[in-house]
Amino acid sequence: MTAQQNLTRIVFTIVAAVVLSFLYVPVLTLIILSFNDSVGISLPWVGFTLRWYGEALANFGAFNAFVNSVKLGICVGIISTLIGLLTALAFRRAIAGKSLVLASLLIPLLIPGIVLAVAQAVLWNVAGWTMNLWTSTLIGHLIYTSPFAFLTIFPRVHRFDPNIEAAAMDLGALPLVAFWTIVLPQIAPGLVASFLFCFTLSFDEFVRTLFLIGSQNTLPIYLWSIILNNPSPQTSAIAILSMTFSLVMVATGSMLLRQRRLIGHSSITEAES
Amino acid sequence: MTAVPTKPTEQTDLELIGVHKRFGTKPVLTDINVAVRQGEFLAILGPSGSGKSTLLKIVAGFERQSTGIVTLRGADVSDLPPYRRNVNTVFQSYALFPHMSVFENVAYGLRRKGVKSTVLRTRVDEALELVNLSRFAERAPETLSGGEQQRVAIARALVNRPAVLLLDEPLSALDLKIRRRMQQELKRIHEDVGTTFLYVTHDQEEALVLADRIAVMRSGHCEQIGTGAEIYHHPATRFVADFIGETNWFSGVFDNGADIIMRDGTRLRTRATQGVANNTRVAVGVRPERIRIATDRESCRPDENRISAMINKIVFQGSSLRIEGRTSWGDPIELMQQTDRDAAAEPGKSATLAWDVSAMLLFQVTDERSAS
Amino acid sequence: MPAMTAPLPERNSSGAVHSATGFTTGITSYLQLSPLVILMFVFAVVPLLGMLAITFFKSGIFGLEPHLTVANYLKFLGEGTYIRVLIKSMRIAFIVTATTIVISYPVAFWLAKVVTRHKLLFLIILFVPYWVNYVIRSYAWLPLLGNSGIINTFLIASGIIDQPLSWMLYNEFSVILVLVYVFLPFGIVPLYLSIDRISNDLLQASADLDATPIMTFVHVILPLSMPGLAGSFLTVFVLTIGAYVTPKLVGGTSGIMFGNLIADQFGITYNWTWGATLAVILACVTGAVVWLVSRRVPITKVFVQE
Repeated sequence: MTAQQNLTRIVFTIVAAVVLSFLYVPVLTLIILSFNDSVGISLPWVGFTLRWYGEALANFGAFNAFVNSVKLGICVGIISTLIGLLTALAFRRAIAGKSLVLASLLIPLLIPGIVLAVAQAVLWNVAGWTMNLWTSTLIGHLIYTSPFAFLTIFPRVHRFDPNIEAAAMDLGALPLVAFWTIVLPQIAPGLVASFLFCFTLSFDEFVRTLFLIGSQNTLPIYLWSIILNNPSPQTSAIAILSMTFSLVMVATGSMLLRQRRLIGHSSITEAES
Repeated sequence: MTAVPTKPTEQTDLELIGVHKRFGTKPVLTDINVAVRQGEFLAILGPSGSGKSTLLKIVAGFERQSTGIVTLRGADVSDLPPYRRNVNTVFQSYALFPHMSVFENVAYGLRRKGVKSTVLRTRVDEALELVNLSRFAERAPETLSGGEQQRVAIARALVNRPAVLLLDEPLSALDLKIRRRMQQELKRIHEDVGTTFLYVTHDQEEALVLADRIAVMRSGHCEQIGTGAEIYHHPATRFVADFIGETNWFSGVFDNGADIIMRDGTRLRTRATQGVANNTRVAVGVRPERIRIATDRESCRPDENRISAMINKIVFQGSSLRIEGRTSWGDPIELMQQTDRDAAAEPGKSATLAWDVSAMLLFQVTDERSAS
Repeated sequence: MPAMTAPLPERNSSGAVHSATGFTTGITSYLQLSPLVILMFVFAVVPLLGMLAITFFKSGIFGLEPHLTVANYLKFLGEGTYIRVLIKSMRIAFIVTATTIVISYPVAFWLAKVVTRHKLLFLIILFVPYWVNYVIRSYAWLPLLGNSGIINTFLIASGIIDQPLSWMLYNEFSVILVLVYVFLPFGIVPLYLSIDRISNDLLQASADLDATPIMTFVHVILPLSMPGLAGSFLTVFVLTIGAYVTPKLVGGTSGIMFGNLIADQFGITYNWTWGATLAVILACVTGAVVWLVSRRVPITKVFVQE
């Protein structure tokens, strides 16, 4: 490698390191101050304590909100992945109206969330339908996440060699069987990625939820109400606990995915291929 | 259309009758009539865009013909989807299932039919044995070379004992040496198994080597069906003569029932022909390997054409020499000679070239159908 | 064992691609599209049109007054406050977007080209801070920027300044800073995906032809990463211009943005038609910016990079 290329690499790595530190500073602040034995959320440092974590874990309202967020996130993840998959499959054929559908998919991405949230809230109120977690909030999240599901799944489906599916049917597999035994295993990583992505989007979603929630809480809504009314290090403790939960989930998930299994053969690890 | 309908006494495994295919208004196949005999190796040969792949897809069931019928062992399968037809396809890109081992790939069709596992195991082993890949049964397809992958594809198709095996340019993605070897493999497998093979290719050499009969396609039409020798020595159209093997082409005026007069007055003789009027333009071809350099001492035989030509270049091609020159009337001409013989010609000097009258291929210029 | 896999067949050549599409009808495809189409139509298209419709009415005490009027839009143009906040929001959005892109480019390039091993690991490291809740990500800056916050405490303790810097929080600056922080990954990812596609051969060829790194950037990387650049720009811009949480938490009074104004109409005042009007105006402004960008880079190309 030339000296110039080496220099470039070093410069970029330094810049990346600076940016990464910028990203972590607030997080680290949050972690440190969550152990601060002070009622205020900022300095001065009074003393080390675990009481905020204790309070957080005992906080029934927070726990409920957390569970709601998880349940909602799983539903949103599954449903939007299904929608994304069906749409991606439909796009494999040259059918009329494709560009219109694509446009309708992209519009939610290009309109500020608050505008769509307001519009939906108006609809629900005018129509008089009940607004709660599993109606207005769920649908509000789906509108938001389905385009992302599609965009995640579509490249994989699009790149999938149609010859392979044709081969399966040539060998006697009915279209659904061919899909189940041949296509699905191949696009599975895309489906998993879509689920995780949409789950995260839903779990983290705030503004739309604010307009479309009923009487229940999701975690962001709960945290927001505390922050506005009664902020304390307990808020940080709740957030850190939630983040730890996500980390643990991702760690277990990636360890499970590490082993790629070959049908009819003992498992091969990623390193081998 | 020069297809010859099969004799009723012979067993026909596959027949296309009056098959037309249009994509929208664009005709892709026009009036295809092909009967494939049982156990035959039939090659469908043509350049890209000739419709040969579409034809194969129609037989496999991936496309539906616009008009006409497809019969398989006498039964009309025109409306059956691919998974209900007793044909299997070997794809150009192999199309092996990447997430399954070689064994599972081959077993796939049998599993769909619900074959019991003991029987299944035996048949898969047999199929792998047939293509010499028994020791690769547990491997992942991506770890195999191109030739090996293609063999898995063949085993995967043949294990189902189809009435007809369809092959869509299966060797075109392979290196030359491997391709030659695989051609021999295919021929051996065909002889071993006896299944009818329908083989699509654009490589005329491959078709000649492999096939019992060849169907030459051009722009959706079937120009000729015949054995390699028939097509080579008696091409039905100028296109076929051009597509298979090399040909030197000259144009002249037909005269006297059997002669052609060139620009400079040289008279070439062909076999007597009916159906060609005097004073019409014709195209004549003669293959390079039929031309030899004549010594002045020999006298001109009555069944020979002799011309004078200026030799430009002699190219060494390994086992043969290609001698390039220009005829007395100004057209380029090439001849092929074995290397073991002396060229008897030199660049820059003129020479006498001779060939048999029977080697002349004659075509009328307007409708390009053979007149001989 | 080198595997010789055949190249993916071209989708448009009539030769190599077999699929059953020639034999089956297209009905399945329309059925497959229906969930999405119904969802989007009923819950996105209809509400948007409906919201547009009610901006031409005024809401009275008993519901909508039943005559068409453009009073809402006239009110917007008449009262300076709303226009000022809109312009401020646009300004903030552009500054945040520009800053984010400037920071994202080197990081995206680093991830795509400088990192060769453990790419996934670095991606995860980059994203872990974003597993902190969206609301908290803005909230976390309060103890950093405040008068008795970490930065001020550190600066005073080390003697660099005597008085805490009060300009760091509750103003436009803090809004811009925190918005950049909150939306940085949305700027990095599209650029990363785009730059990742640029073949290393091209960069090598450029260096080979004696181009300086800057020239390589301007003539090779920038043009080829246009879809990613447009994607980053649009994503961050749209997110920022409708921001609600961040301005409310760290903006104080001078950092209020248009999103806050919209939300206010659905609180105690409950003036739907006015809130809808503001939302429609915001959508139009955003739409105009999106349209301008799409003239340079087609939108579908931005999001569906094949």
